[in-house]
Amino acid sequence: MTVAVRVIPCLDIAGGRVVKGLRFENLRDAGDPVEAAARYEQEGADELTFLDITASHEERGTLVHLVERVASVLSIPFTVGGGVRKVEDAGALLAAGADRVTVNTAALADPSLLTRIAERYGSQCVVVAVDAKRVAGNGTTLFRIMSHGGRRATDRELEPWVAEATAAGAGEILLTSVDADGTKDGFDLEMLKAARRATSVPIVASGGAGRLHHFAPPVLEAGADAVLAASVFHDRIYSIGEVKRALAAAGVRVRPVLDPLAAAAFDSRGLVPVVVRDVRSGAVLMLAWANAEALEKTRSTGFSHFFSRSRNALWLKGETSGHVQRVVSISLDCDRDAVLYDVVADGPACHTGATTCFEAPGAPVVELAEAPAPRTIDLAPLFAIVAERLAQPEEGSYTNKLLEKGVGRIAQKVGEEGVETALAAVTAGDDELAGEIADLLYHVVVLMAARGLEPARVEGKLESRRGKRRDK
Amino acid sequence: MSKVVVVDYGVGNVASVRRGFERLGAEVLLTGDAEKVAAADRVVLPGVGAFAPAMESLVKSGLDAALKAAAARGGRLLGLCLGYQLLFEESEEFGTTRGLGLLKGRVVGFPAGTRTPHVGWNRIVPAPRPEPALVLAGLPPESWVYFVHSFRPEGAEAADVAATTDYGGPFPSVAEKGNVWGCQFHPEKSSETGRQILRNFLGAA
Repeated sequence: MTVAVRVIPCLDIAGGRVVKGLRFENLRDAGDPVEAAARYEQEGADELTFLDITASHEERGTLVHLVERVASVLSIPFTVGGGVRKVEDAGALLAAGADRVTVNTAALADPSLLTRIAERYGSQCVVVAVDAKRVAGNGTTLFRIMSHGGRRATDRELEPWVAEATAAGAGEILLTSVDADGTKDGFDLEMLKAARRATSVPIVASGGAGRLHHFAPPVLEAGADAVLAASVFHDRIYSIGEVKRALAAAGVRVRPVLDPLAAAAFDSRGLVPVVVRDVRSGAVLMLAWANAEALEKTRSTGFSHFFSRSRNALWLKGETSGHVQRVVSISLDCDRDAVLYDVVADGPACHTGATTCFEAPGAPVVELAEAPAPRTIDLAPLFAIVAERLAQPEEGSYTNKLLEKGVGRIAQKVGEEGVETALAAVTAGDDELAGEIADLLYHVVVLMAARGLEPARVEGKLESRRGKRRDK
Repeated sequence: MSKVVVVDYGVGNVASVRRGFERLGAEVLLTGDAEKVAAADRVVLPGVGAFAPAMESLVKSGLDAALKAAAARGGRLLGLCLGYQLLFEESEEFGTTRGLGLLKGRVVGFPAGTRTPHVGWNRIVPAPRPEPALVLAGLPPESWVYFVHSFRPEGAEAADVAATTDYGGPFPSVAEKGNVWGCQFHPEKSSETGRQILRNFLGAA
């Protein structure tokens, strides 16, 4: 077979958000499926699968809007499932940009649904999701088909159902072992082999992935065409690249992951300078050096690692002080001989206790000119203070009084300040207008805190509006 | 900003092709207007589904002549998937149907015993050519792209073949004959490799 075995991260979606222990801590919005999807593509995923776990049992409609957003950023195929009950449900997901749809419970009730979707859109668009569970038969193991998200037993068995679904038009089988799912003890190879005997269409193995050596056997021993996992990828136990390297080492044909860091130009000592920037404030925190191992460690752990020229050793920033830096991204510069870590710093960068190494006490500085007045408003200190008051209320604090009164009262204040700002704009001088704007911004920040609305949500809106304007 | 005309002729999911170009910052005009197609400098012919109804739709709307006119004028043409197959002389999918004839060769099924459709990631191997193909500029020698198809071209002119792919034997998966380009796979679904191909298409002639 010349086609690569696919490695597929699965994102479980509820209410349009990623659930199930997603720990992409560095993402601006950890639960945003769109950001997670883009990241998986960059890591080398061959395909993504989105399963709306609420759709089937809460009788909810599908995720058309989410699919549109994913399709606008993703350049690899993706499959969407959850609550597909009619040809129209599948059509809406495909029209929104999904490459394939999975059908589960509804196909068990009416296998002709697979046929009707396949006739309309092609069988390569139709994946039947099969959840199966081991039950003791008379002397042998039977694989019972489960419905409703693996919670309800049916009277169907694996092999006849897989054969029937294939004949009905399914172009692929997504087989999940309900027993193995979540155990991290490995895939159920016997179950996969049974399904393989029953169909010639591609099989995606799902349920049980926990260790690197778990990924090759479904392919080599049970004839699976793809391996799917959720938590090992979400929890960053393994990267897609690590899984692919393990598969390749076992003799499985995979699409290799391109390593952007391979382009780094190290100097004659094997080192490259690393500028560290605070991703939130934009401040330059420090400059240090890294060798290839330090870059790799930084990537695999998500924490800043460097190479110490004085100690001639790898070091983890914060190893002794506890002031680690979580790395959001690693960038190379235009000629690849300098590296930038964008980080979320957990404490000061400098060993002197200063926030940045360039603000250390006594650090020489030559001032050449007056710094220009800012062209924008830095709301970060305001957000910080309001967050602090929310976490630790302070006696007599106006912010705390407001927060105690609740969203209704704060909303009213925002309205009042809005009107006052508008009035000041047409009747008052600059100083008064500045004061009203300050009051308005302050109350907006408090309102966001009271509602628990993350600033990233607002940022996202601003960003998408900028995008829209560009289109016109 | 680069401008590209994506031919909308009622066949398949043109939206994903449009998004693929938009992600690169190109300005995309989705149209079935033969005049606009004929006048364009960059024309993409997408398509999924069956050859005969697609060709019929092109002929009925005058787009077949418009595509040929654009190519004759020196506009760069990119056929994708079924759109790539339509560039050839004919197809034997469900009976023989004439194609646009911009590339020599015919579209045939895979050999018996090959699992179809050919779905998934496979390699494109650059074909030996006197001049390197522009469509593959900047790609490493081993590149993987995403395929979904049940038919493939054969009998192409060796000079027109930019790359081949092995699935039931090698077949021409990328063609470049002057300004007429085509890919059997989906660059808009082929991650960075696909983006590079689309960038090459948008790039300077």
